[in-house]
Amino acid sequence: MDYQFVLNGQVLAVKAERIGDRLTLSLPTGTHVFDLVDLGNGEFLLRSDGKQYKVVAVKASSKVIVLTDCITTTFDLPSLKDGDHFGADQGEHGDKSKVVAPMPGKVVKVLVEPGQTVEPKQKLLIVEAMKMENPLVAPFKAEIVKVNCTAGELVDSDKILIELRQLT
Amino acid sequence: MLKKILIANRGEIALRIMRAAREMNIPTVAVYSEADLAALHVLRADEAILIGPPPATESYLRIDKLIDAAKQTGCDAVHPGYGFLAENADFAQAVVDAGLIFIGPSAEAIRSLGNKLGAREMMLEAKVPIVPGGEVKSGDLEDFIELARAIGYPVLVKAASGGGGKGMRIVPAEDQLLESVEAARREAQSAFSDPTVYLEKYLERPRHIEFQVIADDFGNTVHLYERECSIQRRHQKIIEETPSTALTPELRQQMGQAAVAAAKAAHYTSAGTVEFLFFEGHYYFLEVNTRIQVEHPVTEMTTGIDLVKEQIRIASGEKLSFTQDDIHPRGHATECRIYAEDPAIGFLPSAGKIHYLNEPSAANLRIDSGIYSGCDVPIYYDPILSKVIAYGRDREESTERMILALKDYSILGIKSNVRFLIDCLSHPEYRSGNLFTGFIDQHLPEWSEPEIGENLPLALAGAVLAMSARQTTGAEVTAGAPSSLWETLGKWEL
Repeated sequence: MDYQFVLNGQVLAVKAERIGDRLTLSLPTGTHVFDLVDLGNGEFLLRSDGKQYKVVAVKASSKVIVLTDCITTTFDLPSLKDGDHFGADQGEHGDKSKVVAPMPGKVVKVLVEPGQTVEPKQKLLIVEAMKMENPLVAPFKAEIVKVNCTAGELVDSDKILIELRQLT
Repeated sequence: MLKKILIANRGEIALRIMRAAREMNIPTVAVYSEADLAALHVLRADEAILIGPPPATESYLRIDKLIDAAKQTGCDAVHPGYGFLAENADFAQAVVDAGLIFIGPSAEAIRSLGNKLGAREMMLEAKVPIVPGGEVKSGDLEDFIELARAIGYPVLVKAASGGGGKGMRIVPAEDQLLESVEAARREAQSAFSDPTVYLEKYLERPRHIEFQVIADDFGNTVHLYERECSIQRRHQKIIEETPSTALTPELRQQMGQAAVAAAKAAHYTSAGTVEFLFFEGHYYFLEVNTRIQVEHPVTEMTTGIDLVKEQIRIASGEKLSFTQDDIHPRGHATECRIYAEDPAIGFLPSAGKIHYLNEPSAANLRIDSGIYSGCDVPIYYDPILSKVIAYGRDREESTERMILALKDYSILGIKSNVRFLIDCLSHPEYRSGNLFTGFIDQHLPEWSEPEIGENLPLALAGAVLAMSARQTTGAEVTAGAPSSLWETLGKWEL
């Protein structure tokens, strides 16, 4: 069966076939064969070339989250409707030119104005939530197109706070 | 002994207090907001009272509702935990005024130690070293210049009623002093309605070393040695350990005595923490935390004393069950705080559903946790999820045990700082014990989550399996969905 996963904006096409406990994965870069043990609760033991790996994988609406060897990888699912826009997963998918509130909170400070050019990771504004002041930063070098909030304003999650135009 | 305790808190500390009370056969009552209907501290409680809507100001910070809940359920005592109202003198007073026992220090002790200038005065009198500095009683800017010269630059302008870094300015040289004093005054006025600011010598690479103290109502005050809490982000500790690599036995002795003197000066009772800054072999009083602290378990691991139980005994009017001479800490303990946050983007908190959780277990490992697989992390409260505490014969063993434990700490669905903590503990400067409060900024400034790299096929295999597996993780379970034997036996569909 064919699958598509999106990682860092890149679509990965995967062909998978399972016969018994053997999973064969065909990727553009090559074929991988794993012998697997399903441990339940999203935990799997995968064996390949004499090595054994524990993998935890769960599906959560529009994402699949996989934990391997202390590294968490979040794949987005292109075919499904984007319905899970909550928390810090924000910004991992979707339109990065719109800076949205990651959670309901209060805008403490707006640090930029329209027309201004910002560098990657430059702080754009500070939102207070979960008892803390959280800076929201530019995902890339950009020009500020629009600022849709003011200091002191209470904002809901997903509200578009700042609009950017990516500069190369 | 106390008859029934209301726990005016949530999360892991509420569960921690519940456990101590249960071991003493004292029933407890949990409180919760509408955001915490299915929180672990509620599920594990014998009795739980809803106290209001999700925002803390309408629930966990409502003194009237907490006292009503205590009375309604027949409690005779209230434990505040940490955070929320734990260091609120008005709450401590209101509890006593309602005829209940506050498990903690007196309202007077909380109040007198809450004012930074007042606490400095008190420590000066008790001959506890304080950071060089002081108040400018006249308020004249000229006098600030004179005082700053006497202290020596860089200096710190601090708000007397301050906290959380508000109203605080670092002044590197004289030409910026007046501007900084005025700005700090404005900030202090708007944040705390008190424009009083004072000057302190700014210590550039200090360690944060604190002493646990505990005192009963009979004048017995004992210290339980130090905790080093220099690994901080946003002025909040994330890794704590005991003993500190910086102290000689003589210094440890001196600081312990200073901590006891500080507690006695404030007529302190119950468990508390005397915080010091430590710099170039000298220690300076910073403040007293008038509560049980997040990092109290490391002290419990090395001393064998259950601090919460001891608090309960003291509140019941009993004498301390040990003396200073009974306390002989052994081994080394390290604590890591697990936070729902993303260290790669400025430690931005991450709320949402925990789709999968597996907490490690091993010999000499303690987990104080407030979460479970399938629970929600609400946006309304502090993002602390749990604490991992690892004991070892020495620092090396404790650190190794901790790293291994964190590698086994699996949490999916929200961002956490687990991987960041592993990288902190593995840093050569951490391993050699060269700690200071700016450690993270200096050594891990541009941290990012490692990418999957060559293990991508493995991760994709996991993704494929998750897509084809029936959802039994709690992540996507349809409530009340019928499940027949045929379904569970069904063949794989890929």
